[in-house]
Amino acid sequence: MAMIDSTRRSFVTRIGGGAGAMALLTVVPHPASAETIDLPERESAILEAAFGSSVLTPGKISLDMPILAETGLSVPVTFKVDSPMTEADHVTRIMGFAPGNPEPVLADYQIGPRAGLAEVSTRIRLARTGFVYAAAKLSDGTLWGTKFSIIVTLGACVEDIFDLDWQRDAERRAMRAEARAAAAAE
Amino acid sequence: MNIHNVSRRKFIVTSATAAGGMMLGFNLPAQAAQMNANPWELPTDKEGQEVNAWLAIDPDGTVTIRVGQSEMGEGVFTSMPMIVAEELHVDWKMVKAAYASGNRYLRQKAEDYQVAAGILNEDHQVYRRMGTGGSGAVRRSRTFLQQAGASARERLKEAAAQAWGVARADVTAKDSVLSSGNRTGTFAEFATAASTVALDVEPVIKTPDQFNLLGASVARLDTPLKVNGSATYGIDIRLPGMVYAAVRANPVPYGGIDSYDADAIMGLPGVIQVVEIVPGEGQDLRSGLQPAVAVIANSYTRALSALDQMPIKWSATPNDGVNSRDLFADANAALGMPGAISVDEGDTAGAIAGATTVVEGDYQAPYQSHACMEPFNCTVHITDNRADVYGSFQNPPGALAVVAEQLGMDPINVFSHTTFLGGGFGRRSRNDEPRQAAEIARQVGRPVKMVWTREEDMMQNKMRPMAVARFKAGLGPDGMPVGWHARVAGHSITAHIRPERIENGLDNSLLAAVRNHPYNIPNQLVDMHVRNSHIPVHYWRSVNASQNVFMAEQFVDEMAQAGGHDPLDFRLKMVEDLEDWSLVLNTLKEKSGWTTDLPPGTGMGIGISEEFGTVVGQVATVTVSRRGQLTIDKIVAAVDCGHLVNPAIAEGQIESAIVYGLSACLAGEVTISGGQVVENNFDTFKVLRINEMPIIETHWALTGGDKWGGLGEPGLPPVAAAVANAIFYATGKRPREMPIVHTDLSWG
Repeated sequence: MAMIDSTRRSFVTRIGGGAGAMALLTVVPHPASAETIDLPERESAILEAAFGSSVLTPGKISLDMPILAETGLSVPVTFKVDSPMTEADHVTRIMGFAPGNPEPVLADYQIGPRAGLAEVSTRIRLARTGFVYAAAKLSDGTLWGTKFSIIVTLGACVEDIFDLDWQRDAERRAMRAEARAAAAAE
Repeated sequence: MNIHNVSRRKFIVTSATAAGGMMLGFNLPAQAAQMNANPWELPTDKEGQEVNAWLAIDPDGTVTIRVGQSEMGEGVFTSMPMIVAEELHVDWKMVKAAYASGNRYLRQKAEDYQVAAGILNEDHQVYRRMGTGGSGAVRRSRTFLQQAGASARERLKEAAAQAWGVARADVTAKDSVLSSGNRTGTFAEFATAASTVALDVEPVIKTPDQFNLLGASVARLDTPLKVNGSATYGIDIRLPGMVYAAVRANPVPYGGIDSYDADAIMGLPGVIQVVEIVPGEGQDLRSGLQPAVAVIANSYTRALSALDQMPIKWSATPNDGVNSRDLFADANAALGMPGAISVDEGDTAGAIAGATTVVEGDYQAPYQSHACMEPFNCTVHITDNRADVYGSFQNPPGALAVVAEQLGMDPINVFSHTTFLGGGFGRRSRNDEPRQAAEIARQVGRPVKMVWTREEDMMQNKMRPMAVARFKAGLGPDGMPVGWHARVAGHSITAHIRPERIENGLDNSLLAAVRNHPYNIPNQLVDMHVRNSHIPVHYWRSVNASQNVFMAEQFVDEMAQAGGHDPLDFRLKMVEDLEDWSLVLNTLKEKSGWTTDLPPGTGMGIGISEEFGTVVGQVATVTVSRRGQLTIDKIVAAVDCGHLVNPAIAEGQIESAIVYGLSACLAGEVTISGGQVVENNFDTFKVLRINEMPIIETHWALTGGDKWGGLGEPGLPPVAAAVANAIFYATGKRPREMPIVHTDLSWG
């Protein structure tokens, strides 16, 4: 079947570097720096529990996925870590997160040097447009991360289309419960 | 045989010309707001000076306003530019409308002014939303469209102020003219300068009391194109070197192909190739791609004729024995079991057990087809590093995405071109057709136009789900309800589209109007069962409310009658604490001449619901002959959507929702037999005919304030309930099943 173009990364690099307005499409691994990847609170806590720290240095790990998905039902993704995968220097764990999902952990792989390659491809489900995060722990204990902005179009179309009506329903029910409680108290 | 290749559209244009002024004797005003027959193209040959992504100004003063939603009759090509123009203070006659680019939506994030104004955040796409659905065009786009107009206006004023050495506050903008003191200039003169202006603070958008253009029944921009036949729909697309594909899938949806004999037809005139579509790994029914075979030829007629002659053996499937009777039996059996609970307030069972009167009612509604007048089609053109996809899309970036995925291309190199839509109703947001067309074009290697026959369109449709419901209520000594128990069993769209939203078997969207009705009843229990079949389902205008309101609002009438109340007053009493519902009901009462005291064979009935923030109530007046012949005489609607952008278009939305809803209410249904859809064309799938159309009156009962409700769908759900309740008053018989044609209405 049709798979995702393997040159996407270089392409995205090109447009990311080319135009200021498109800078948010840039998803190349950043060179290691003092900066860290900002994770939302819930995902930070999960990472803290898994790795003992939620401080991710940008770099080493990359996310290969489409920048656009019609629905979030089955989105191809490849987690890839730049590692020789030797006894002395290898990846021990890879995790993926989608903060827009009700259950944010997309992937959790524990691997070792015998894996030979620190690269995993799978399909994930995404509830809405937003960032996908990836984190990798190396055998030297360092933590690396990246994030990727993806547009989910069906999310844009049907996202919360009913929420307005459910919200009104909740407000009405609360209002009446209050009125009944007040009447009962009299 | 010599067949003239005259398209329907060309025929209309030609006959109009031949008949001269007689057939199309209208004259357009010399200058009126306009749009192009090919709405994805720029309306002029000039790019114009963009002030922001929503609008560009040509040197001649023409302002192109881009439209993010798709025109399927709901009027977005007029209403959306009106919202921008309201703030821009442009001369409306100078406005031209064109679709926003789906490819640009993908490439570009929010513009700085949008972020600075706090209207969008920097992660939003520049056009924010390009899907058309959820009755959301106005209610979900209004603020950022107003901001686009306001921010552009202030930049034009600032550019003029700088040129004239005056303060921006001293410059006024009106009808495309900027002026200060005795100096004047046009928008066009300052467009280039305005595009580079930076403002310290973005302007605040207008409130409804400040509107000038919004609220006016401005003429639709697309009317001339649709009357003279030049409007381009997906099915009208012609590309140089294009070939045609006629396609067929297993009549049992998502069934496979055993074999087909391409050699048998390859010698037929014009036949070029036979293509088999094989879904890839992970491409289940949710991807929209199903096993199918397509014949490619140099004309559609030849492709279809060859396809009809090609021996095809479909695979047996586990669903070959599925039929509607069993599906309904299964769903009805589920009604006897406790389901996933959505609402559990108070002690419903206890309240009903201790009630003075207990009322019970069962209802059902079948699968329903969208029956878009324009059959499904899509045209795909692939070149070395680019793909262009043309069609009637409700979700253009989604079309772009599926084509990119199917071709293994970067979405950034795929360009979607949305035409006018010959009906959408939710069906055209599924994007199965661009994926299928892309797969065919990939194999054929030249531009391909794929067209489904009407039969393919209806047999491979993604249906409005079937559902059944059981209601039980207890009434107190005053005849008012003390407990409400509703249980629904039906096919879940959410299970196909957004399965993450189903928790513990609970899909709240199945409970529209059953759970979120506004009636003040102290004890309420609402539970449900998901009962899915192999029939693919999707959104249908007003979604689950289209069947649930038919059920719930009839049951409300059953409660009123059992309690000895007038059904309209009964509802009023249960919503007396809600301003909008009370206003709509009182408006209905006044405007319809409401009475339950009519001679036998005639009746008035009411139905009311709230969807997408809009309350719509309707009163139907019907006549039923002693032999059971039903005539719908009149529908009176009262609507609270808060505010109106264009009252004429808004009224059209209510009327078209009533037409569409009446078809489903009276005769339209999809039944399943042998795993297949039975009603595969308009001989068996009935839609309302012009002679069956009632008089419709729409009355606005607007509460204003912060309310900006949708209008595309909320007009639909009440009509079936209003008609069914009216039938009860006319005949004493209650139609518990959609469509009503299944109920014998003879009386006396």
